[in-house]
Amino acid sequence: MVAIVGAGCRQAGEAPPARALGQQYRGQIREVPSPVPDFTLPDTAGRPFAFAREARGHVTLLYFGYTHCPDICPVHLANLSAVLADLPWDLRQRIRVVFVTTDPDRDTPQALRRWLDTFDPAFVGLSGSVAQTNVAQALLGIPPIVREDRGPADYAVGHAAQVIAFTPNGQTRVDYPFGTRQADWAHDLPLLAGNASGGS
Amino acid sequence: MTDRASGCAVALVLAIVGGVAGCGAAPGAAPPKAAVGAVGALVVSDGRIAEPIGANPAVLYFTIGNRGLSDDALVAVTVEGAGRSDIHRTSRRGSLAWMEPAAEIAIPAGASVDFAPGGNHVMVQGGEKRLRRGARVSVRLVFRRAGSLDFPVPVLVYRDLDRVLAGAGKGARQRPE
Repeated sequence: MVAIVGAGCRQAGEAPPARALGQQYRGQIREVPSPVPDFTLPDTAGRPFAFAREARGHVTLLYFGYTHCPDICPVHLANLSAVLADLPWDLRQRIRVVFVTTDPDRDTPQALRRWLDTFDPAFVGLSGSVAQTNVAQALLGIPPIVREDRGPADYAVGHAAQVIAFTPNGQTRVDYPFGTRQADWAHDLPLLAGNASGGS
Repeated sequence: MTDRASGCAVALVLAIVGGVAGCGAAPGAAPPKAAVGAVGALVVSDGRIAEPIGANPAVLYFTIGNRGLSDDALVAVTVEGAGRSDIHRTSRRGSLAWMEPAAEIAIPAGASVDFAPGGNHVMVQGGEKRLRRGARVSVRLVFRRAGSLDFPVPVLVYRDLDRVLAGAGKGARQRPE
């Protein structure tokens, strides 16, 4: 099911209207356009990563999760890495995966880097404080991180289950819920990238 | 959507396990395609483990069909070569996904219960040496009524789950809030 946003007249060379794009995506286009969130978190090398600035010109796939998560997080990232590996090189260069840890206590920058490298060394890992990450999540409409303790050094972390995609021009946000298949990504990633060349 | 997906998966698995030979089997039904073991009225199929990434937990999935007239429950799981295996369910709280420990998972009479991505699963810790791609390990499921069942499970990598789950029509799809 894809929500439809307003369409308008299109001149030659302009981007396809959002309505048409919305109908093409297998992900869920947001009815109310939301700006690319403006937050900055340190990447795994300790450099500040300004999300809104870095997202410009790329398809950016943003996901919040943690490395001790065995069920949802690695499935999403494995599916993305499998599909990206099969894309043409030039298209692959226009797509960036950004993973923000919701468990900064255990996900040190080094641990996060090692984990992401098993999927794709090009995946960006961000690891800020819980407070910083909550600010980023709030900008996307995601509730704050909640940690549930279960014993010494044993706890679970609630996290958003969807991958959030932004087109290179920042005009469109498409959400991909858990359960998105590799075939869905293979279908939508070129569309997301093409949105920029059409009218950004 | 999750409920609908689960319902479809249940229907599919019932179709798969519905023909197991034995008391009460539907006459003329097809044999199970992926059953890996049975104990009492319970039939287990589609067992698979995703290889752990580094020292992080691995995950175990399977399906349990209950062809009997009595409810049962999965109460414990052990995995060969692993230190600890916990039964979990992934549930939703608002827009958050949440992994919760479960003391047991009910296996109602006549039903089929999936352990699949985004839902019930077994988190397996301390198995990073043994649980490598291509290995087959023994898994023991312990049920409240039926007793225990040992069966072999192949280890694959996360990226291959999509292919095998797509073939079985499984895996919960969830909608963002």
